[in-house]
Amino acid sequence: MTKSIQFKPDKERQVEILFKENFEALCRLSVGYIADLEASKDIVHEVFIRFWHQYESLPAESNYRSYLFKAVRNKSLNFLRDQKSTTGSEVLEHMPAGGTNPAEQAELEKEIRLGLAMLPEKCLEIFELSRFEGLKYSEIAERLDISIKTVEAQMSKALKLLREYLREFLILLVIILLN
Amino acid sequence: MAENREYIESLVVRKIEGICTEEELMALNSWIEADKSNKQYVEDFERIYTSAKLSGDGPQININEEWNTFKARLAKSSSRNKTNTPWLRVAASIVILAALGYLIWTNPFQSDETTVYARNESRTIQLPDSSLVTLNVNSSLTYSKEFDPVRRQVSLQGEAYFKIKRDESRPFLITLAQTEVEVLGTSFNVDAASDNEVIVIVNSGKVRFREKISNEAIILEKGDKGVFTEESAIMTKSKNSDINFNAWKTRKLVFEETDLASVIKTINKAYNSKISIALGTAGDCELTVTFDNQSLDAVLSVLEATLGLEYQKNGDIIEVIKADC
Repeated sequence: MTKSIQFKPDKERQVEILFKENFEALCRLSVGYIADLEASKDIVHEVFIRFWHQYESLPAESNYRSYLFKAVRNKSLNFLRDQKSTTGSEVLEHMPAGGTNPAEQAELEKEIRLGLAMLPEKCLEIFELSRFEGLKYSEIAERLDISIKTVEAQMSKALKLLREYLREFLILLVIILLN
Repeated sequence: MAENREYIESLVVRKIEGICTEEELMALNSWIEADKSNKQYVEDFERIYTSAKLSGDGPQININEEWNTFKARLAKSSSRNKTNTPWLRVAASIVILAALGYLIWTNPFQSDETTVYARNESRTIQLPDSSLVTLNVNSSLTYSKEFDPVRRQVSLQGEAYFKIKRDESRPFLITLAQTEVEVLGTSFNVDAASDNEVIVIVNSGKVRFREKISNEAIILEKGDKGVFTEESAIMTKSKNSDINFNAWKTRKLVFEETDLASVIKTINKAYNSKISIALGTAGDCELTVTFDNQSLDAVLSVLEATLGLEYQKNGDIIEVIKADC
């Protein structure tokens, strides 16, 4: 039961397998960041096209799957940043006083996603599984073959870092809520 | 206090996930009451946690369609470079058209065959006749999206557990390298992951296990185990004595006065783990225990407690370095 199946080494076959196995999960990851399925599909397609062209230059032993996830995550974050500069954070200034309004909530959600960029990789992976995939701590533990305690510790770390990142934003929210 | 802090932090993440026990909630609440900033801390965590949640269902994606889109886009991207002169652009278009024509002509997706792979974790597939197949890790199953009217044919690499829907008019046929398994409707495990043998273990119903060249066949019934050894091309039938044969699927492990070496072997197979016993350890350890859908960590800590095992972990490789028996 230790023998792994030898897939045909040729490029098209290899890329096809990676594509078919991961396309949906990659889209889900991207949607988690940018909340737009069509744009997410575009991002994933672009990543695969670049992957195809770079294929020969990647080291043979690379973990292609993790390369793809990283690339999609980065591209999604860039997309979000570009979007942010156009729709801007002026949302907050034009907000009516008092109560949580949808624009403010949307802005917070966006800020959180941008903040994810600075989480350590393991931490980020666990956070994504919990929040984007909706997995329970126990399911994450099983999937990554780690203990629930580790999952909890990483979630706590993620939230602490995000809170730090969002500090000013959250304080602003509190002030507005108090008005 | 530092320890306490860590405990409180774990309670906060458990609370927002909604899995705190009553006692934990009480402990947390008294911490929250103690200081205003504590309250703010928990509220911020909650806010971030809920706001980060992705709402709505997962994306609806037709993977074959996306793959075709990808190939078309790829053809475009490959020929988009260096197309400055008009004649070159025309030539490029011709190349693209020719390439597309070739792709359509030889389209591998016209055949409705599909292959499902399980790499790092097992997965269950529902076939067009609503039979269920659970693939073990490092395994793949190829089947047609529309079964033939006279038979349901699939091919397997690796290991899988089959639960076949009964249909006497259409036998179900699994092709392996040198053998095939034919059934009408039943459940059984096929293990063709090893280099030199294929093992079929029947859970219910009746199965015909046949060698393709010689046509030699044996009939296996509930509780039977058929083994085909490639080197000698011999088929043997015996009673299955391994109660844990499909533990990789059920995650249910039963040990009765089982020696440690066999226990480790069974665990490795069930969890696709890499545990070994250091030379000279373990001797006569025997174990009687049942695990029902436990995580590998939980299983290991039970062994640690009952047999006094000590482990040395190196990445995903675990070595048993001490046993108290």
